[in-house]
Amino acid sequence: MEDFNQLKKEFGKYQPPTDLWNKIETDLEYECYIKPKLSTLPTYEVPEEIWNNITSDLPPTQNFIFRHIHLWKRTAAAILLISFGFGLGQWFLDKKETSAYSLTSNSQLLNESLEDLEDIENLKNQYVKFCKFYPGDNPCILINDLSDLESAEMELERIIRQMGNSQTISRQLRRIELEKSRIIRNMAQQI
Amino acid sequence: MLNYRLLVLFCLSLVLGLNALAQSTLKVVSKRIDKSFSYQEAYSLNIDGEKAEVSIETWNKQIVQVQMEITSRNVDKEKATRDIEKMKYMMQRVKNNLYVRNYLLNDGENSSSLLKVVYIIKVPENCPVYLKNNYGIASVKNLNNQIRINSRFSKIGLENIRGNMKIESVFGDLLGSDLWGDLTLNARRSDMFFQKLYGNVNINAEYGLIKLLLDHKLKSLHLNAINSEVFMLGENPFQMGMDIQVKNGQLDFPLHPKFKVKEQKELGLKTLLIPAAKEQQIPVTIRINLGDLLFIRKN
Amino acid sequence: MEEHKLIAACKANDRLAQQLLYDRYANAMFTISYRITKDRDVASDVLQEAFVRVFNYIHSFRGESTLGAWIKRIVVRSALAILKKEKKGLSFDLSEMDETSTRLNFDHDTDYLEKAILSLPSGYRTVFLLIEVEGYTHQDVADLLGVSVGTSKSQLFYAKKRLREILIPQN
Repeated sequence: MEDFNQLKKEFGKYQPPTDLWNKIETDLEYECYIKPKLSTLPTYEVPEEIWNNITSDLPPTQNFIFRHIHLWKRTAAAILLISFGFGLGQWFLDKKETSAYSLTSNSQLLNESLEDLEDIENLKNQYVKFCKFYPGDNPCILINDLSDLESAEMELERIIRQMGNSQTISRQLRRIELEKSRIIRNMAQQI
Repeated sequence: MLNYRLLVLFCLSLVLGLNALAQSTLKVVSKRIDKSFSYQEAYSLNIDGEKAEVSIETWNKQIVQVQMEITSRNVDKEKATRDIEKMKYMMQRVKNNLYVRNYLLNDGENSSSLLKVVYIIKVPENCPVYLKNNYGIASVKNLNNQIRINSRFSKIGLENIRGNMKIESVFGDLLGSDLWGDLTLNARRSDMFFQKLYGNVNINAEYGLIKLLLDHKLKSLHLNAINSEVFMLGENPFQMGMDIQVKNGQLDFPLHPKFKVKEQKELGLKTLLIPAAKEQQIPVTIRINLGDLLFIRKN
Repeated sequence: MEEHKLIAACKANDRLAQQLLYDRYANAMFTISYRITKDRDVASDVLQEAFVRVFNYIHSFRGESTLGAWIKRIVVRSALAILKKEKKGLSFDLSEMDETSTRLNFDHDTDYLEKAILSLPSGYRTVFLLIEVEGYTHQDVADLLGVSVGTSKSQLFYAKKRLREILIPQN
């Protein structure tokens, strides 16, 4: 017995943590009594007004755009019959060309992956932290450049929503995006 | 008396200024690790870098040599010393793969120091390389075997590569010259400049600025670009077969009496077809949507 | 409508398809966001923001997970982001437990279980909900919350321990 107690003392350092049984007991009781009930937890009804709030934040739909085009076509035809001629037909053709850009503008703007967006946010935060190491005369100048470009982009998108798109505006948007990408890459290289 | 007072003020401001300067100067702590692996056929090198500058060159020894330096910069030297330990690394061989990796430890505490890793790697010419790098720079030269690169927010430079190249790049800057092997490139938000391309080139790009200097030794080029601006420079584009389509954008090509840009306004489409020499496939196919193509003739 | 057709229609900005997708997932997602934020108004904001992101970025959905899992991830991230923005953050302070949750009789229905879960400090509650109710792994939670896997495991243990203390009579 003494040998056994001696052995126990020597092997004392290999005993499990004192709170391990507590953890095991917690898990066992959780698995037995609480976990089976989780599948019966209630589901909550979403408030009705949320869908309307969501749609007001989304770009207009194809149906909406086509309805506008049809409305303008009717108006254009009426005016054509009354007094204008070929000039309005040209305006109608421009609108048809515009519709192609309007439809593509949505997909043009929205092809970013979530992973990219998260990386950009992390990068901006790291860049701001980095700027503190080098205060200088123009701290975080790239952040300012980026937000200027984002403001310009929002302005162009607003113009597209109100007046439709065109090749020139698409090109400007694209160049803004290319410039934004360049700034983001510069930030990444600096940090 | 006045001069004495001015002298004291001057010395005081000098001391304070120097003190401030010392406080704002970054302290640098660095750690250097060197390792070499003997190289055998069928081995490949796998690099996984984070905030890493990777330089890969070849030599005539059957050894893969890795020199790695980790640096940590902070105004507080103690923090720099503590944070350098957050950059973990691994260099080992598992069967036929040589693994070299560095990563930032995610222990819930972000590093307040600027951490960077610099690799200088020498490999045998025939060693295939697989490189993954985020927020860094990579330069690869004189490789005869294949290279695969997967990078985010990184600059990539390739020079004199005879093996096949496969590149995935997001938010990257890509430079390449003397590329003899086949190049497959998928890029997003990446600008690129390639010259002296001699293999089969396949580029898919989105939101990029693409500049290509075309060479008559180029085997083929397939370029698909969305929301991108493409600039091409070549001696005589009319000697190469070309099939170009630009949708919702500009197509600016040198004038030729026989080959003209055709436009379909209602579709927003501009096309140009230059047939190749007889019994040869058209080597250059370009499809651009929501972007411009400008071709400049090099004289 | 089959899911792949629904996704294609949403990508084409079809409003009816978008509403169908919203109706399919709204209640479940509202429930998750309410359980994380514990505030109906904030949960409504979370849902609105999340679904706008869903429809704006559905082009980036590559089918690597189910659509529901993808939407859920966006909702969870939005909930955590809004909590952070409102400077509530995630609390792991047991002294912030809702004191109205005294020892409850487990034989009562699942409303009591719900109340017990909602009484947990926000940090433990979030980890518990994400792993035990929503089926995320510890690695997923670590990525979402910016903590280590070890931290996620220990927070889950504390959450389970607290629930056990509330719900199961201790002899």
